[in-house]
Amino acid sequence: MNSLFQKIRHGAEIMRKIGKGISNLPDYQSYVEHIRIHHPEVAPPTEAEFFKDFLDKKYGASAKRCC
Amino acid sequence: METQTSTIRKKSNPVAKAIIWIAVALAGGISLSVIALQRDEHISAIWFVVASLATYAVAYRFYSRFISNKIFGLDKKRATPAERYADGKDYVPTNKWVLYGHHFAAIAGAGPLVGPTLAAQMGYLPGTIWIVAGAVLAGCVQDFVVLIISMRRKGKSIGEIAREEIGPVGGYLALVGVFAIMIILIAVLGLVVVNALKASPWGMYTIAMTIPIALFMGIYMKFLRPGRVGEASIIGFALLIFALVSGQWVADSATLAPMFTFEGKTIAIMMIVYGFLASVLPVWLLLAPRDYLSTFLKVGVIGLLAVGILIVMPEIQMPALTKFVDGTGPVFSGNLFPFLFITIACGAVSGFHSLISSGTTPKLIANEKHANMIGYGGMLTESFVAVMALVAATLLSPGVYFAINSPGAAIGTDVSAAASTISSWGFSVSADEINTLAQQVDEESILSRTGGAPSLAVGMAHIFSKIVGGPQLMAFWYHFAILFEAVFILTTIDAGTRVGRFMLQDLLGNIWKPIGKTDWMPAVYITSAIVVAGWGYFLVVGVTDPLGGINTLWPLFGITNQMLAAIALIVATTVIIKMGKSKYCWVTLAPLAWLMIVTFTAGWQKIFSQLPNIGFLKQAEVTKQALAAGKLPPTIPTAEAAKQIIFNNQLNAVLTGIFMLLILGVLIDAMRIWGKVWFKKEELPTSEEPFKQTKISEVS
Repeated sequence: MNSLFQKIRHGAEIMRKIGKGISNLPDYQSYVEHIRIHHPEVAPPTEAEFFKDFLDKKYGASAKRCC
Repeated sequence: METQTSTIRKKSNPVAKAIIWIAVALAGGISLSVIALQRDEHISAIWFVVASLATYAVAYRFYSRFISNKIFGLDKKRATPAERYADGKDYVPTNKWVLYGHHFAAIAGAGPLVGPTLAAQMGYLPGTIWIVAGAVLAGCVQDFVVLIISMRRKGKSIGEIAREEIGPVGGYLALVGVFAIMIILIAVLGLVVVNALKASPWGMYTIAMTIPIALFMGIYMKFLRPGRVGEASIIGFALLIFALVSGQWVADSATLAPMFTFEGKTIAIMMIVYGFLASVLPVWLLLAPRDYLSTFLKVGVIGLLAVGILIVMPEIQMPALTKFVDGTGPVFSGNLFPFLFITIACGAVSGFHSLISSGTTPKLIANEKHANMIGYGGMLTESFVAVMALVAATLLSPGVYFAINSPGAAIGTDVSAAASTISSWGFSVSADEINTLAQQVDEESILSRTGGAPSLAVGMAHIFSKIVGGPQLMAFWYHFAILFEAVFILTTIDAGTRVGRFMLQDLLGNIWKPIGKTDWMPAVYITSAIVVAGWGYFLVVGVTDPLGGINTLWPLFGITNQMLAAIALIVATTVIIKMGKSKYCWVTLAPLAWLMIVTFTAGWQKIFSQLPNIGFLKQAEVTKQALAAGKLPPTIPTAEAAKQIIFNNQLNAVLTGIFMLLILGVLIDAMRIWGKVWFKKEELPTSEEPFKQTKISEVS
């Protein structure tokens, strides 16, 4: 029972990653991980700040759109 | 890992592999001959699916590898920007399937759906051939080569690459071109939506509901559950379906229906206001949530359509060729050459993709060897979407197709008169048939719903209702398809307006600094208003155009879009020549030459043709004469309208001329570089980054 629940959770996690990837959403957890490994002196942004930065960038001056 | 297994397989059984590829090629060849040679009976859509998929498979396996191996030497050991500049945000090595999904969602829009639908007026054959051949030899090559070039340059944009590889003049012209094309694109897509929503309370209500739904999603993701896009999208989707279902109640209600029934011009003005608001409001509130909803809806519905066609295997009713190959068709004007190639646009080759291929995708690609699937394969998928749109348009009986897609100027506004006009063209249809279909989809009328969206929606409703619901659910599926098209067109319109505003702020900021400041609200309002006024003008003109608007605007869009592709191919050819690979430069030079011939012939005819339904100047002249003689046709009610038509046609002629000069400028500037390499034997440096060994072994 427990393992089935874990499998479902794992599946949902994969679906979430795919969905995020397709809509080109950055993953907060991996960003924090990246900061921790490569720039340990920097404090990572909060999740809300992280998404605000991302939105500003995505719909900012360099955004692209298609037909 | 994957390449290893394939080399092992190749070593162990080359004969089996050869046999499989011969079989694929044969299947494609047989299907293509069935499509091309069948004349008397209706043929099954399955032949289109097999013919296109087999061609794609062969081209992908052989041509895309030829390009990657012979010209660029794609190397799985060479670090990509995602690894070199990894920052956890913009540069992230991404799983190739996920990135393929992202890239496809980014390049696919309304273009590949609308273009083939309009092109169906010449029969299914010319459209099918160009969608498949054009994609394989031109469109995929463009997307793929631009992706590689950008991937080797830190994921730079095509404009920056043009500046570095050709020079400042070429780079600047390319930028102006992109801005102009954006304005035309937004206007024409807006027109598609207006034509789908006018006098349709169900459609109008459902689309209007998407705005409060998006606002709710925005607030949810900002305050209630920050960053929970998945949850918000699921809730948003559920609300969207509710809006769709309740739309029928609105349409059937005597009090509510009139509240959501509008004329085209009113809807156009609403869209202009909406575009302005989307450009000045914070993105998290409206733009971003719409974008997510649209992405998932797009990928989902396109997948559903593919499955639907495979299950239902509809019969194609349209003949292989109609008499309208001679250019007299009502849906769009002009001969097969060059106008078919202009009309299909995005399904075969689209300049807009070069912006995506040099945008986010090259910054996310984990391994150089993934570029084949993402760049070349992504466009193959879009081409397949175009094939499906063509199937959906041609499975309608031709009479019904022309009833929906011919403008009022060609068939009138009375159902029985329209039916007899269309029947006189040789496509028999009765007033009963037209009325029954309108009832089935719960619309007041289906006559002259030009723009492609309604006829595609009828086609999709045919397919989906055969699987789920039968005729009872025709109306639901029709409005589902309209919703799907309108949602992602509106996403292009709002985001496009915002992007256009930034470009304009950037351009004007050079002249007067404060206007370039994106946090100074007066500057934001002024530039947004200018952009909205730009496309809004063309939109309103299109809506009120007696010839139907699509007739004028779509070719203009097609020409500009194919010209943007020409710019991308000029840049690509220049890079290939500078790399010392001139002997393979035909890979991009041949499609470039073809696009130049097509766009310049079309542009020339649009300006100077002596036929008033093709030539802008002739149309202006004819209207001027009619006005002077006091003999205006019934489609032009007032002298005021006539003056407007004269001015619009002159403006369109000037615009087309400017576009042609723009491309010529870029080409001449690039040929200067080619000449240096070919005749002066100079060795020019490219801005490609040096090799760096990758440290990534596998990307999850």
